[in-house]
Amino acid sequence: MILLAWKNLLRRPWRTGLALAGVAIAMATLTWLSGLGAAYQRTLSNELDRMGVQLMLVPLGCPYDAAARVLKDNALESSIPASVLDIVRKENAVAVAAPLLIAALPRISEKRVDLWVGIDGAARELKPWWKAQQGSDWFQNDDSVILGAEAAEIEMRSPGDKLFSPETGWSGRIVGVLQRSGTSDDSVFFIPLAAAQRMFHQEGRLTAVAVRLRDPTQLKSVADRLQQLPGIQVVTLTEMMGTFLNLLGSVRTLLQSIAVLALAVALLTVLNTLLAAVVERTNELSLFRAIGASRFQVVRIISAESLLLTMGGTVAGLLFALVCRSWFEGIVKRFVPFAPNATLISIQPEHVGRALLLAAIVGILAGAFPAWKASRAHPAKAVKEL
Amino acid sequence: MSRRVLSVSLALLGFAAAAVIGVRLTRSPETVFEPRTRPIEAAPLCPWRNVEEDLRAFFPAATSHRAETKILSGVRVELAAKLKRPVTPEENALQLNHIFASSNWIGTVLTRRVKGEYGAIEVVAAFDTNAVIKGVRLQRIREPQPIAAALRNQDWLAAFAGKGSESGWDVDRDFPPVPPAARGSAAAVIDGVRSLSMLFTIPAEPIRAIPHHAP
Repeated sequence: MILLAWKNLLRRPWRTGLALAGVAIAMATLTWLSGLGAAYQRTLSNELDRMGVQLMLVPLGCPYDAAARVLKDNALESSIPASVLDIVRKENAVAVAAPLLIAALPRISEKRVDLWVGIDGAARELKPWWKAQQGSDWFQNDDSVILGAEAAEIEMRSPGDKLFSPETGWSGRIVGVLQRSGTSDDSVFFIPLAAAQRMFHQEGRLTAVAVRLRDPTQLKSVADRLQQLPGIQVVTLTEMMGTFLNLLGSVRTLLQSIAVLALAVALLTVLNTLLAAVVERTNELSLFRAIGASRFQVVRIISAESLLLTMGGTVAGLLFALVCRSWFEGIVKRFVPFAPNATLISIQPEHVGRALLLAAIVGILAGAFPAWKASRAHPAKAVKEL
Repeated sequence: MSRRVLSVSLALLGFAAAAVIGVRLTRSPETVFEPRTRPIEAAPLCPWRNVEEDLRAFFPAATSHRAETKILSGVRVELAAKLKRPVTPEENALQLNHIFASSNWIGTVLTRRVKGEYGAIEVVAAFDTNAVIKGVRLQRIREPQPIAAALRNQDWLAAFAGKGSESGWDVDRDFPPVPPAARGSAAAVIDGVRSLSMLFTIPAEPIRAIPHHAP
């Protein structure tokens, strides 16, 4: 039966090939999308975990605006009083509270910004995974600078070199260069908090306080308590992740619409291919019926052809999806917010299983009408032709 | 016929299975040798930022430009001997921006990032068709004002004009004096332009140019 169906399809290799290609493209897109969501959520969660932060205290305002500014490497315009830090550190549930003063200096001619971040020793507790390049040290005085790997590369700096900020007139000496981490830290200029406050005329002010708790289960109660501080907004890790996932959701919805459309087109292509084949072979099918084939046998042949087309296309699509995963990932990363450096699309066995099941459904649906039409072939027509 | 169809089908199926196994084996995310993040590479190549402005200054008759890459990895030994220092990884290739007036080649613009005292300095050097310097500009500098002013001084930059790879390149002897604070960065700029001149003129055997899309 399968062999007969396969032979029938091979009679028109171009038509069959094009139908297979249509199904393959649709299935490859669907498989990539299935692998995208889960892997993105996992890598984003890992990256946020690596930040070592469970909640952030930021100036009162729209958290979406704050998230957007961070995404665009822009500093927040407003600030919070540094006295908040003492209050937060007195909270028993707080393990580490790290103050941050973030300032972005745009370099228009270079189409980038220098992101300066003022920190103190608590940042090291928050990010114990930081590794420094050889010859690096921690801040020794207010003129010390620690550079992210990429910032050091662009400025051609290594420990012991001098660094100047033409925009603020501040001059310092590099004491350390961080190893590449694949996070936003790679492009940051870290300086002591007090130096940053003087440099940007923000004495006694902070952009944010990053907090890690002793017991993460106390997150809600601590967040509620800190929320009472005037002019402060508490953003939890879950909210931050939710914002990013919402943004990803928009991208996924758009891509899924395209994939569903592609699948519909593939279904119609298979239907059209089979319908053309049935019309072309009316005499043959009538003869088939005349020599004793039942209607059900004719339906089975056409359904087998349909399933062969969709399953064959799906297998080709899965192969294509596996081979070209990196290429598609490169395209998606341009649109996905906060795209991590790690793998975004991970194709798992369940994605393959889902694609094959979908192929079977599409095959049955696409083959139903042509099979019914084929089963209506009248044996008398074949006898007349003879 | 049916046997032929069967054998072709089986061959295709076998090929597909081999491809799946091959892909799974070679593209495993757990492969030990595949770094999880982008590996640290040498300093990024210096882009040419102010194309229109530089063309107006150095080649007013220019109508178009085309970027090419000159591969120099085959002449590292000769290059090291000329430069009198080891060749850096970025010097394995040189991006040439050829300038044309109609279809005539009228010169080449080269760029380079050099290590200044207080940060990276980006140098743009324009060469005529005889590999003689027409002019030099600093497209990016983060030195303090007195040093930046000394390096951007028109008289100092004009001293590069007319030089070739065999010219004198001594910061004290062959260029106008600069303040002591600017001497280190001035020497870095001079060394950068001298290196560009040598990279540009050394014959790469065989010369392999990889065309790029014109920006």
